[in-house]
Amino acid sequence: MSDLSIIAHDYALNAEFARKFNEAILVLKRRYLLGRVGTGGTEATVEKARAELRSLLESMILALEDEGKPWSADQAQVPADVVDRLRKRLKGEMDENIAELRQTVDKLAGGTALGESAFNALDSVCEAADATASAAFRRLRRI
Amino acid sequence: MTSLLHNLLLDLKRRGDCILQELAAVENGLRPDFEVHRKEVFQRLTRALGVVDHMLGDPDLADPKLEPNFFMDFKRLSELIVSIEDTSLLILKRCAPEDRFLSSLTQQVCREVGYQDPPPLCGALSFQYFQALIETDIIMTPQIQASDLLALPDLYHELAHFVVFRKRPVLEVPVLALVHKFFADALRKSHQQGSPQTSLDAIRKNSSLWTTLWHVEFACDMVATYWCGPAYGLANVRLSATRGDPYQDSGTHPADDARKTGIECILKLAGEAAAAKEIDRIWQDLKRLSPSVQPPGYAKRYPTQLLEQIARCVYDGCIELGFRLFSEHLPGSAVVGNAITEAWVAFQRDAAAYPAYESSALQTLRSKLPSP
Repeated sequence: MSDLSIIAHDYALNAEFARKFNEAILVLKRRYLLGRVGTGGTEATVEKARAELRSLLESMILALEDEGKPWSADQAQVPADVVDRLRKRLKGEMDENIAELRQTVDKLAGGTALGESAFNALDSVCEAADATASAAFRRLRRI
Repeated sequence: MTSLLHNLLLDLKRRGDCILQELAAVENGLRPDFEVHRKEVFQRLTRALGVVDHMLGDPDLADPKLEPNFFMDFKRLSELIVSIEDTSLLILKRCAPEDRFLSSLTQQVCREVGYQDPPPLCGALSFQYFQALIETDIIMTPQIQASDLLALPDLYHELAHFVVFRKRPVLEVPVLALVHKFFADALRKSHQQGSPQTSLDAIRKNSSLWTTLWHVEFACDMVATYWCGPAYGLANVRLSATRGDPYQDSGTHPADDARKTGIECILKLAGEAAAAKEIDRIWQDLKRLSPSVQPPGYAKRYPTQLLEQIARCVYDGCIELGFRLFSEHLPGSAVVGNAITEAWVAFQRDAAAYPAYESSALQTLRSKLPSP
């Protein structure tokens, strides 16, 4: 009813997305950039992270390409605020970034290792998600 | 030398441990429902601190490739710990009679409407009207809420926030699909008609407002109306009367006038067209008192057709989720629902005599609430 309820709602959504996305990236960066799995992790953990990230990325690409195309329920995985923030950040480089994300999806689907360029594109999504969650939290706490 | 992130994690751990100690200290004498919340929060915080420990022991914590991602994890953990301190710990330490009463009342509402998750804990500690704090499963209410039956319908709206969030595929996603389609169609039509750029920009702006947060507020109003009935519409008029311009909106909230229309849509679907008409009559009376006028573009910003479509969608979602419509309670089973409805009848019958009625009705309500 108050602004805080809707901001808390918004924060919960954004924080959940940021958490999930970052968790998958951490597992995959460690596996492909450092060449190991974390303590307690296994190759199954890596496979799970690949599947999770692929699903989130497919939704993200759909959302970024939204203009003029019918909205699909798959896009609902990605909070609107994150998409807006990413659009603003990537302004002039949107096409290249979408192409990179699409290639990453293909690699994830094909079981291929991810390289630096893929992680650069993934980091930009991760940063947008993190900044959106932090901004929502600040609005929530009035700080 | 340890890294900044390592030190920040140590600081977070110290803070979390302090809260954990405080949570342990409040255990004695807590009522069972408060104890359930305390245990859950205790376990959640323990898990979070376990993650902090795990990060502190991670040999890759300071690796430049991973460090920014660990820092993001730190922020989410920090937000969780701050939230627990500011909400759960606050209520558990206070656990005042009004917090206990409102929590019992919320549990009863949950039973009445068919809310399937554990009921949120309630605290009369808000400085900003009602607040649904989804992350910590808490509802904050105004400080005198335990003595105010007429505002209780707003508790249903707060509960609806939890439902709309947790049952996204059934409630929020179909609503979002309707909103996206509606404005995409409007944009296409405007393009075809050769409308000026300002019109196209206005459609895009409206679409963005709706798809970012407004759809959630409308959905919560509608679920609350499904659960609570005409009393929710009356409470909305009462609240709107204190907020000024009924056409004013913000990035977080649509205009009260449009919200009223959304509430009426649900009442009509529930076969309560007469109640919807009566709420509209009171609303027109309120607008007579208010000097505000409908701003240009208002009808396009809040299309009745879209509100009707959303109402149908939310109504069907409520049925799918097994929620109980306000008019489908077995006689005597809706202790809180009936108390609210009767309070509104009493208030409308004789507002001057209402305080005496409310005092007695609250006593009766307290006596009817089962022990937690």
